[in-house]
Amino acid sequence: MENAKAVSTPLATHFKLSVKQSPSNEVEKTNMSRVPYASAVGSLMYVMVCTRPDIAHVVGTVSRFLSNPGREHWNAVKWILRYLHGTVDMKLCFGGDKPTLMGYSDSDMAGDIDSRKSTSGYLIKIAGGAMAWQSRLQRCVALSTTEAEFIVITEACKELLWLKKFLQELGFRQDNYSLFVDSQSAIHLGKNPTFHSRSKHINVRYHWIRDALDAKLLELEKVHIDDNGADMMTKALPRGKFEVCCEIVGLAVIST
Amino acid sequence: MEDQTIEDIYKVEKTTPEKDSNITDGNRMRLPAHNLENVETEAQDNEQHGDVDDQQVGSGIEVPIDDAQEEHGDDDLGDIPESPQVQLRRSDRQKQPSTRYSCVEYITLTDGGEPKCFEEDFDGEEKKQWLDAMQDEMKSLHDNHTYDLVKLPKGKRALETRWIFRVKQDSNSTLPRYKARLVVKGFRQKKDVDNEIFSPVVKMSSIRTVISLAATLDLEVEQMDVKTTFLHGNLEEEIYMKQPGGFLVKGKEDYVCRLRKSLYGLKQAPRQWYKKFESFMCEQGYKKTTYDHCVFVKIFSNDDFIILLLYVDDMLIVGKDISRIDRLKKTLGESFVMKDLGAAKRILGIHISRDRREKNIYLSQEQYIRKVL
Repeated sequence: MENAKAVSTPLATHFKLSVKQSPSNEVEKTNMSRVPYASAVGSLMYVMVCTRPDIAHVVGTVSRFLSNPGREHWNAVKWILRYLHGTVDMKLCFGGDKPTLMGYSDSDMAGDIDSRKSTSGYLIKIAGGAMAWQSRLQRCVALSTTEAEFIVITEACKELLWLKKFLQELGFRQDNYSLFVDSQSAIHLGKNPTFHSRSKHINVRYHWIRDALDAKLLELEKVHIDDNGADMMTKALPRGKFEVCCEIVGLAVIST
Repeated sequence: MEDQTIEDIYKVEKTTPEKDSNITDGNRMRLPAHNLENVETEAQDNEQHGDVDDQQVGSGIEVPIDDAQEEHGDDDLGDIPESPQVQLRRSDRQKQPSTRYSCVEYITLTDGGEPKCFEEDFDGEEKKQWLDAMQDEMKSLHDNHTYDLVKLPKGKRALETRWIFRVKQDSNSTLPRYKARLVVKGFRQKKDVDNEIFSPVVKMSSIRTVISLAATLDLEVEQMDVKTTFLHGNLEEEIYMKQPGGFLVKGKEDYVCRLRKSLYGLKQAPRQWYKKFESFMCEQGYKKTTYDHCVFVKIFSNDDFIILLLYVDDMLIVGKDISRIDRLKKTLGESFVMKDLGAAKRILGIHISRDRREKNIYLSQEQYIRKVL
């Protein structure tokens, strides 16, 4: 891979990965079995878990096809490797800032082509660097963007509260803990328990967030979509936007 | 232990019962990568096969086994009385290795040309290094009082052992280190509530949290490493293992080892180690955080504290006052065999670099990524 041409984003928008690209006959399957798909994805996964939130979304996408990978899926994996090749010296940086917790959340409505489920993504930042992140396919199909966002907020809050308590146990407290969301309607739905025909089907467990907000455990705040670092956890972004997100999470090339 | 000779190798082969050696051969073929840290996962993989065997013996046919033995749960395969009507039937289906995850794939990432089992390595050029490494390991087992040689009581079963070899490349020296480690084939242990697998690993986000605190508050980050981690745990259960291959004690060839301390590969090993470490830290006045059980903290005053993160045998110690950290290191060193690695540079393949003037810490996995590419 030393001579591979580097690319600037982990997933180009022209990849439309779906189950349909998986091999259907035996010949193709044996062809694909020669490719170390699973171990490549496994290695990527370790990089993602440790220091690279920027590839969280793609790794999640390619690992949906682990059981029966196709040629196109393998191309996507190679693309990620090319991206890593180009950004091998990227580091996750901490410092400079006060150790305050900040959460970002975002969702991609019906992003998965096969099941039409939405993708949730969140990341939590402390002292200028990302310290917890997740990108995953939601378990249920969301009917609206608001609903998809609402589900992410619940997931992100759970993580944020865990970190809050963990930090408190280590002796660090801060005045307020805020989660940045780019959907105004999801924020309203969280704050205001009005009964509405468009939201009445939302599962009870996601209304837990209202309790958490009532108890003043944390706050939801609106953020403009361009300043939302969690955007890259849910979809393939064009280069400019992607670089902004990397900067928000504290990923940078620094020579030491 | 003085007269351990390598000629004993052949005796080992003779002493292993026919049936068992078949099984071990099969396992050997299915174990492609040999990473010391991975022994447990391998063990898990193989567990399934062990279970199948047990079932074939236990439930398939009505075999008269006396009750006392069954209660023990340790019935030896060879102990079943033979009766003319009952014949044990082994499946005659050909066993085929999985085609998808072939050995070749795994080896590419971890294989460094180490011998796979100890019978095989003694014609290579590195013979001497491997023998030294094995002697080293035996010595450390001995120093730790890991086992006593005893006769195997009736109705008990001794677990097989195996040598694992590994070449380690240190970052600061050019010579590679040769390591040999004796492991128990823990996957032959029966499933039980007590030996449920458990590993004391700290959460990734906890590591990042503590690192970020260290960055902004300008704290010291020190790293320590426990040598032969799992040998520290005391064993409560009665477990026997066969004598290590190549190191049979003369005149006591039919003896087995009763384990006193846990050993790599045993299912109890990580749990026992964690138990011991936890009680030690509590004695020192540290508190285990309820949100991550591998994070220990002691707060001395308002902004003077020490946080200790445990990742099986690696630990990060973060605190403001370097003299306090040194004191903690010293007490740790008195209780366990530790290696002080100084300021943290690498944990779990993550490179830690810092810029103290700017109060920044950078985490990168450059080396790992290059290796993958």
